[in-house]
Amino acid sequence: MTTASILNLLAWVLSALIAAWLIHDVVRVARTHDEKDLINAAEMFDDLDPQAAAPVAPAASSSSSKEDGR
Amino acid sequence: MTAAGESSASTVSAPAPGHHAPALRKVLSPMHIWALGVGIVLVGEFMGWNFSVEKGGMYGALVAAWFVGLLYTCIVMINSEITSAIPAAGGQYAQAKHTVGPLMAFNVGLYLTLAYTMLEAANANVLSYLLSQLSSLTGSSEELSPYAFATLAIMALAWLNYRGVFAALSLNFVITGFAFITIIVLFFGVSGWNAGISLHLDGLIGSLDNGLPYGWIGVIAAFQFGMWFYLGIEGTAQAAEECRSASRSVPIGSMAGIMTLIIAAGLTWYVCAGLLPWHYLGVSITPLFDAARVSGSGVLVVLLLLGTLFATIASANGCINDASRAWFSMSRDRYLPAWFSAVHPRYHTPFRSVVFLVPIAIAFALLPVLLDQPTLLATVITFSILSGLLTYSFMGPNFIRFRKLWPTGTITRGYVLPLHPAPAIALLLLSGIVFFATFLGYGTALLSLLAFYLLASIWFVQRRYKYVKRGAQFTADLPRPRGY
Repeated sequence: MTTASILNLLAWVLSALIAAWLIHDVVRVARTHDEKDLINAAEMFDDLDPQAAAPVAPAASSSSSKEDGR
Repeated sequence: MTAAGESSASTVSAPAPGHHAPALRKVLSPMHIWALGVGIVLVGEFMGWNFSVEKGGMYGALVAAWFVGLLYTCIVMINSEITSAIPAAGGQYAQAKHTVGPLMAFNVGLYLTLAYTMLEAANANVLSYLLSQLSSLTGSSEELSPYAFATLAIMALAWLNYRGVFAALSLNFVITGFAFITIIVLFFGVSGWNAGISLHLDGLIGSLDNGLPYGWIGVIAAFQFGMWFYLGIEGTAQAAEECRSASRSVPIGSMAGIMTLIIAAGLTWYVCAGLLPWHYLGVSITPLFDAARVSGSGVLVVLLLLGTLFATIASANGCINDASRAWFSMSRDRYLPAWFSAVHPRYHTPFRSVVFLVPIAIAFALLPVLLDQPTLLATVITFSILSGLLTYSFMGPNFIRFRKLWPTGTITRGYVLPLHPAPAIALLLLSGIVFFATFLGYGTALLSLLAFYLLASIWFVQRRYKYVKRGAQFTADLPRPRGY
């Protein structure tokens, strides 16, 4: 193996390790913490604003959970 | 939808008693704000600005550096006042939601996210190119893979940003400071104070063929790339929520930043104008590094190569920070799914936003290489510049509205913009000139970008606007605007 190919391989391995660590930590945090302890907002869920959603309420409420993965 | 309308629409249900939403950690000082702003921008001194020489000649590039410097000085002053009153992550996005309304805020948030993500991708791409150059300079005949190192750069910097803003921006302070010092060392290394020794400025004297080859239209065309001297300094506003004292840190850090950049721009132009012929400088990939090579000093060559590398890393690092904050802020206001507004319980960073933007940046960094289309990199960079320009064109009118809603004396400001409304009007006029210059060079890209943002706006109105809690938009600790 040439020096360049070793360096390339090392870069790929390091990238993969970092990616694995990031994904593992995101999943770990989601499993060990309640969602409401993580979300930085006044409300926890994407429920509809009654004023803004009034004209489209029936269709919007059914799509809400689908869009946000809930 | 006006700010007053938003504040009067009290549709927010309060969080459960005793519940404390996790927040970003307030750890930053003026030093970090300087590092964020200058860190994103300084790479433009090492590469990019010199294309203005191709458009307008040496003097065209210099005039562009002055006028575009004025544009960015207006931006920094405007930002300093508004951010000291509205110290929220998201920067200009947070300003827009308070002064204009959700649709404008959504567009500004998207401009910011895409501008920084695209710039990050371009930086990663350039970084891999620089490493290839480094390996060839060391005498190696083997080529390093651009895929591997562009990916590693983005992953490593994302990891750093994931772990904490303090470490990420402290690193930026060190490497940005180093890169800036290399420019000063180059000036002294070529005896810049004595033009007769190493620099050859005589080509700029006498006939204007060298200094101004395309006349004044060339100067206007040069404005487009003159932006590279300062592009991204407005990103300092993104870190306001994480400052120990935003009303102090943002104005001091941003003002120090623009002063640093104006000094760096002047030195860069002067040294390069004296060492490189304008025909070459206009198409060079790494002008400062090339200037060091022409100087014949081995120390300067190594220093400027390291300076170019560090400036590129600092820029990508700052871009990850800013793009994630813009995305995070839009999410917590329900412009995007709330999932992205999570704050890490240990590191206090918007960790999901950081991770989500990683594959997007990698895709844009690798696409020009994968498709073997080097011009695609220019398109990615143009997309970033144009998104930034759209933000600037919003900032002038936004500031005039901000002063109307909250005149001086009605709220506490860490900094008060002098000579109002002259800077806001100057910003608007200069943005118009740069738009025109960009249209001359990238008219199709500009129109495509506007079409993209129009489609995104339609998507927002159709699909996301119904989730926006209009009362909850008004998060700044400000009194009801005058007249409402």
